[in-house]
Amino acid sequence: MKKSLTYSFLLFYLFLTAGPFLWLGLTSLKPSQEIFLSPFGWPRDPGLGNYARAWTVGHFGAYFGNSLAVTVLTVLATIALSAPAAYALARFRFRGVSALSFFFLSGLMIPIHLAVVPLFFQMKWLGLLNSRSGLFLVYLATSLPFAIFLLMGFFRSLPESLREAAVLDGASEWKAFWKVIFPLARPGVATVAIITFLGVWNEYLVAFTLLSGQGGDSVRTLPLGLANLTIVGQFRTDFGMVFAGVVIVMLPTLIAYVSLEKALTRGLTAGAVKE
Amino acid sequence: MRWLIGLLLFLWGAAPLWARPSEIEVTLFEGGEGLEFYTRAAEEFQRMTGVETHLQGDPAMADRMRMRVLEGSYPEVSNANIDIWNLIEHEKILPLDAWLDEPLPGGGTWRESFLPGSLNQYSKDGKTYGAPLVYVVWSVYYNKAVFRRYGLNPPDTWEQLLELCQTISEHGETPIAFQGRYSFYAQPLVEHTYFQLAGAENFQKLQAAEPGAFEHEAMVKALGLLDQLARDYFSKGFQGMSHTEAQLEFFQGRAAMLFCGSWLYSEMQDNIPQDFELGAFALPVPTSPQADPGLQYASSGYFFVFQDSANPEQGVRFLQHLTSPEVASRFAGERGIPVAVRDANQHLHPMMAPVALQLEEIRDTFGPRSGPTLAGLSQVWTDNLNLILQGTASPREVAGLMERQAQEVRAAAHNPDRVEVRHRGKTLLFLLFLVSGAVVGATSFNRGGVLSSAAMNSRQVAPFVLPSLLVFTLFFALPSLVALAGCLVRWDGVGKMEWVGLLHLKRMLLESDLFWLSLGHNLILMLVPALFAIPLALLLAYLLKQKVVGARFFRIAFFFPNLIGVAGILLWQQLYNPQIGPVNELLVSLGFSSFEGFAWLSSQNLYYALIPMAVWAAAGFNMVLFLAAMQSVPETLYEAAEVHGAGEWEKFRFITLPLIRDTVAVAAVLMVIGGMKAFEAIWLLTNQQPTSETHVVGTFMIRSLFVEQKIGQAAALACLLFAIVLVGSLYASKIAEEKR
Repeated sequence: MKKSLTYSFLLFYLFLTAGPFLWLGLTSLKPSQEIFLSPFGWPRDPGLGNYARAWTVGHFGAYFGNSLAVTVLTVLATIALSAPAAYALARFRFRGVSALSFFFLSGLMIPIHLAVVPLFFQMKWLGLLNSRSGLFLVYLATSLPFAIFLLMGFFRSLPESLREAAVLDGASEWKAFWKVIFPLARPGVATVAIITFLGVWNEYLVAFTLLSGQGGDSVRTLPLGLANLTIVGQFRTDFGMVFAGVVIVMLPTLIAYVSLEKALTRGLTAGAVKE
Repeated sequence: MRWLIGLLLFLWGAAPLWARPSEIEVTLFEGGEGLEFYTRAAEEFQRMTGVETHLQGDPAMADRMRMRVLEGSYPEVSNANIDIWNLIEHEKILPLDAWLDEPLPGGGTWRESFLPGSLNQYSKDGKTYGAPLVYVVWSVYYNKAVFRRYGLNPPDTWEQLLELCQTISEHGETPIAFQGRYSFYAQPLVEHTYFQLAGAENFQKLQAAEPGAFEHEAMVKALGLLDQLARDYFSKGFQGMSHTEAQLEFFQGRAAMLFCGSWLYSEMQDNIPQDFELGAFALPVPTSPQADPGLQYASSGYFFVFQDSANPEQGVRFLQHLTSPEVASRFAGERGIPVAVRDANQHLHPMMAPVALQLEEIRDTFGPRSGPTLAGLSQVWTDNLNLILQGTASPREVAGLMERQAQEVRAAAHNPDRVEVRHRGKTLLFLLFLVSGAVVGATSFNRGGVLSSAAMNSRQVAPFVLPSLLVFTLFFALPSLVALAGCLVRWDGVGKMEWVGLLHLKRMLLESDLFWLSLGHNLILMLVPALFAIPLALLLAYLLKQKVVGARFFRIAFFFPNLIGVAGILLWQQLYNPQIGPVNELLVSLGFSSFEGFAWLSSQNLYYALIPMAVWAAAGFNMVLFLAAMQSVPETLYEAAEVHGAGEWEKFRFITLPLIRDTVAVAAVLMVIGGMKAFEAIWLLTNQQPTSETHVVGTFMIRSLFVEQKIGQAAALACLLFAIVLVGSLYASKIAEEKR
């Protein structure tokens, strides 16, 4: 009796969370006319026409590549830079260590909207407007605070004796970190990877600001494409294309999430519960 | 050898100098009429002149052009809707007069080839800056089949129209579909009626927001008409309908009439049923001795040439081609939009024939005035038209409100340094809040005591920390600091920067109603979703902790909505769609029939719509946190409680809850901070045009920044936002630390 109540509530909530995605998926297979005439039925003649239009009319083909390149680079660089920094801040004693920690962590509180205008002029001065590398640098800088915050918690939870043993064996601090400590922080690193991935993959405002100028067209990213698609879709009353666009943007997130899910839940809860 | 390299370098550097004359760039707003027509015109121009023509279209071109202006990289030609008058004042727009008065090969001048009056809007001191192509008149479109069915004829006066509406609704049909999500669709209606009742002179006063113009009896009457239509004759849920949704409603036969500008056919082309018979008549006039149906509201869509572009002369030539009678006629024919070019509208697409007839009956037009518009006046219009459309205030009250707000806008324009103190109490409270945060911060951050063990010198530390420090400082911390300093200046991004001290901060805190309204909306988003999401997450975590089959699957499914950001918002936009969205469908099928066509995304209901979205996105995340915390509660405690006869509820209430209290507190604080940072959901769901009823601080800031180009004011808002989030985080870390 009690069990059945548990399951019925869980299934009810599953309906609320997964239902919209199911509807989205089905609707994306219908032509626009059909969406209006029978928005809820099974697609009569399921087809990928909406996807084809999103891919060409919405330039999703090119944008997908740009997004992927910038996101993957940012994730890798964020890990490479934040891991040693977090380790040093968590484990070393040196002058100004707490001030430095505070400096990095203050980045968590800055809404990115704040920095957008000066960044624009800075990038203009550096000649990095309308380029993927400029976008990558800003994404990297804004991803670092959270990555460092999360990894500091992780490195603190690892036993100190590991490092001592490695250093006693004659390894330098640098080597000891990458060879011994870093591999043990894998759940933390995976969490950083997916959080950075999500942040960058879905980012709109910075990309809009830095990629709207002359020659920015060929380097734009998916969220910009998606936002445009919804406006174009409205003007042309082509809702099917919008549905397909949403699915295209969502799919990589789903894949990344399902494959890293275990590490993510472990990493997140380690940060928020034990700390 | 060296001179050769030098020469090569010189040639390479100078190459653009002679590469230039054969290239132009045209940036276009990509709306319903699409780009195909322009692409073809550009190809023709290129073939005729040999000038390489690059065309770029984007539905958000205005935003992009604002960035181009900041960047200083001007295309030759654009039709984007940006603050042209400011650019004219800074001499960035090329006056077209030299070419306008040049005789054309076919006789006459370029100037004479336009419809009378259509060059006026962007003329000043004898100079003309904009060349019009699209010509917009407003009409009432109607479904001829419906009119025939009930033996109705197009009306001339508002009274006749109202009678006609009454007849249609007595037959059980909806008289009018309306684009209610964008209240500015009602503005031409109101302005037209106002003009007809009050006359040209008063209409000019209205446009200049002169004292008494908004309070005028004509305004009360015009608003009253809109009020009556909205109350009795617009389709159900119209407040939530976007322009295309309402227009589709009309073309699918679910409403008999529609107010729209003459771009209607072009926008809906692909969605008009084969056998649809489209009729149109001019906006009716009020019954008044002054009224004159020959006077119509009209406006144009303009193209501009940028002075600082590489090749402005060729830009002008391109415009001459685009607006030549031959090309313009083709535009009218293919795209079905009237044009501002003489004799071209006789080629208008047959579907728009009724509008062509309407054009012939126009004797004179009135429309947008020439010269810069008062900043903030358009918000006065959209906000107050909204009040009427939602029926929340009477026409007379709204006219009074508009008058007051218009005078404030005027006063602010005439005296930009004045701050009127209106919110002293709230400001004091706000400052107290900041001070309390500083106290909390001071007491929690001097604990020091890092767990570190290994003492290092800076040479050892450098490789670990330096790369992060460098990137973070250069590309995030430094620009943020500069931005904070930006609140001390006034700057529009084009002209000179001006030092104003604390003016912006004072204005936001002490004077701005919008700031406090926005902050109130943030407050709703900070508190209400947490009230629902946290108990729900507790329940889900509790259920999943009982050994259920498929727990991992449930966890993944419940958490996923937290991850998808913008895509999730767009998904909800469709879920809430009044016509095709499953939310209303579900509610109606459950027996809540009042949700038929319910306008979730109208500005009145938006915050009700945002709560389920926020709960949906946040519950899974909190559930994962709680689940982990619950799993760390020792089983022995539960066993001991069971021995004492505790039931499930007692165990939860007296063991689980107290032991995970801190995690719940952290989760609550995270949600509260999230509510403060809210931006994208509101920005996207209002199609980037929030009203005062829907703004949060984040959207207010972005509007100041990108739309109004008040960079100092945007920075001031950013400072306030930062201060609030900072204090919130300090409290959060205080709570998190206390449990240790």
